[in-house]
Amino acid sequence: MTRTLAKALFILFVVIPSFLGLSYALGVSFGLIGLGNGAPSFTLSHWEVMFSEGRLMKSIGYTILLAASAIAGAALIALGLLSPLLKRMPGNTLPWFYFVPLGIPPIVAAFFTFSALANTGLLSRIAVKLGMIPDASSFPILINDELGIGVWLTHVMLAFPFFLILFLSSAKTQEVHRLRETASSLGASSAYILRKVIRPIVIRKNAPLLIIWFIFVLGTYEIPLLLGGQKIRPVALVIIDKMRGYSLATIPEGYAMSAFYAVFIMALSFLLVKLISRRYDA
Amino acid sequence: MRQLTTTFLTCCILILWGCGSSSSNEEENTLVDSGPQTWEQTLQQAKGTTVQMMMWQGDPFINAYMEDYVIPTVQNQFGVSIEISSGQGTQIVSTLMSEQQARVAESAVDLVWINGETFFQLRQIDALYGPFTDDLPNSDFINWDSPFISQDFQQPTDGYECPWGNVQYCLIYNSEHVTSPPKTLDELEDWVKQHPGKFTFSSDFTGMTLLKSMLINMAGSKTALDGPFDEAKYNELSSHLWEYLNRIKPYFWREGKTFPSSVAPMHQLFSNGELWFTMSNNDGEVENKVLQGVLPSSSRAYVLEGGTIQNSHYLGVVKKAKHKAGAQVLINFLISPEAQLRKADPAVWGDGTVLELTRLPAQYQEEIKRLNNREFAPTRASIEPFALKEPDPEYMIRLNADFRKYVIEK
Repeated sequence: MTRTLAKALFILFVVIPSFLGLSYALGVSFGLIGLGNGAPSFTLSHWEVMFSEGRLMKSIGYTILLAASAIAGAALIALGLLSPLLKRMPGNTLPWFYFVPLGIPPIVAAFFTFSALANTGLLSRIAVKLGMIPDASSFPILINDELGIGVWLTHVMLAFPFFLILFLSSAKTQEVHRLRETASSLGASSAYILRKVIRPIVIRKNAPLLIIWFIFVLGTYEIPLLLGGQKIRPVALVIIDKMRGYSLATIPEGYAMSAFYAVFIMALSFLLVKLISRRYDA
Repeated sequence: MRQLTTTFLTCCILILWGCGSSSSNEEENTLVDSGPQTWEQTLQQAKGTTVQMMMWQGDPFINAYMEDYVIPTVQNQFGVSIEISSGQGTQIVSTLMSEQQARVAESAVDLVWINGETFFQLRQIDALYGPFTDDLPNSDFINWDSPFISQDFQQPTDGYECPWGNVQYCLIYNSEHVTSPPKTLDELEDWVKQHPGKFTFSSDFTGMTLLKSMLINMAGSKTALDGPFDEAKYNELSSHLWEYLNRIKPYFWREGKTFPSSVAPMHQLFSNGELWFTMSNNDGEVENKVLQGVLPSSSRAYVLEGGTIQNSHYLGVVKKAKHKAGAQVLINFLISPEAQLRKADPAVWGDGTVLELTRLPAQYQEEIKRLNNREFAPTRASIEPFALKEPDPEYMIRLNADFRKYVIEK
């Protein structure tokens, strides 16, 4: 009974609204739902424009690369911190300051990064004062850069404390500190323990959550809006450009992009979950 | 999987059914549109209503003008309440478009602050009420003879929007570093090459306004882009523009590899000394930005010799507005000499008036003239000869798309 109710609620509040949104996007992109006063009529032109421009594909590739590298970076930092933390406090919880980044909204984190890493930002000024660089303009470009370094750093900063908490929690439940001690007493090095004992346990255990965070980063908007470059941008920004540009004619293209991206992400998530489940089963 | 497919197909059918054609509500709206006949009736009908206004809320001075002055004054004088929600340009268009698709009888928005392409788009989807400006008593003070007021991006306003303010694009430079600012495109090219990294423009509306000014400058005539969009003319002029920009791009801020997303970060870069130039669509903005402490007191505004775009911003009543009378009363107040004078004060907003000075009572004429004594910006009279009309909205649409294609992504 409870299971049926939960399923019904999930369908009502998650599946139906998502599918309604997707159906609407598809309807507009195929011209079946007219914008303005134009009479609706089926067309593939918006999809043709979307694919012929090539901008979306580049953007999807960039977004996936950004999200995957940010997750990898954050997971590596969290793993790196995990071993010494387990050594020092196997039974205790994390100090409070590890939780601070979790309470910072993405847009605020982006502003922090901007203030710290801009050419005239805090780090640049300190570097000038210390005589490390002759003037602020010599500071490396980390904001609004083509590679999206500022965007990447901000995502890593937001993700790694969360990953650390997750890893620490699973390490405790799996009694990793005992395994670590055993391996250590048998003469294994710290790097070996991290690679062969800790990593397999915590990463596998938390893989679904890492994927969820990855999907969350795929939808990033505010951070690249403030810190990203203009040449290649994450998908969300490209879609918003199309939907909120100066021309009404590009709105259906925006809907085509959003429908395509939604289906693409669903398929990607499905594949990733399947892959991980297979590895678990193996 | 089968369940999901069924749910998805049901959703598709629901959406198509929900967005299908119906005429019942359209009939109701024709009744709503039958507005009052006299201004007295409008005032009576407006009393006690709450006008929902959607406007850009990105400037603390503008917000304070509305919150501290307009809202209480209109409430006290006319018994009309105002609720402001944030939204601009395409957000307004999207909101009204969604309402049209949902066939709502009454819009959630009564009044919108718009101009240019937004007006063009709202007219395209028939979302504006009008003509109504002739019904406003204070419209007698408006300088309707000015093409910068009676036409919005080359389109006659036809009474479907009422001018609220008038501004001219200007470049702002730091006089501590720049003693003689470049006034022509050739001079700008030389200056940018001699001072690498100190000039750029934003990739938003303001930056596009500079590109429009440049396009007209390149055409060599102030009226070159008058009239409907001309594809051949655009292709020829824009190719020169992209060539020009790509030639000097390596000397822009960040070597032109990126452009600030809006003028707000440009102002910040200018204040920090990273840039020696910033810009504004409002010739008076430098005055209030210096007063706010956002820009340094060494900031000075000027316009190019070949001219810069001058345009007006407007107020429109939504076709399906619930409180059309209240909206009109509010607009009438906003274009009153009293409200326009206050708005023109740089310490309040610094927005140019749309009223014709000679039509105003003497006291207001003197007051507005007094406000023209600017410290950091040139006077309105001195830059008006260099004013260029906004070209057809299609120029903006194409420039925006092609700038990305031929400059940013190149």
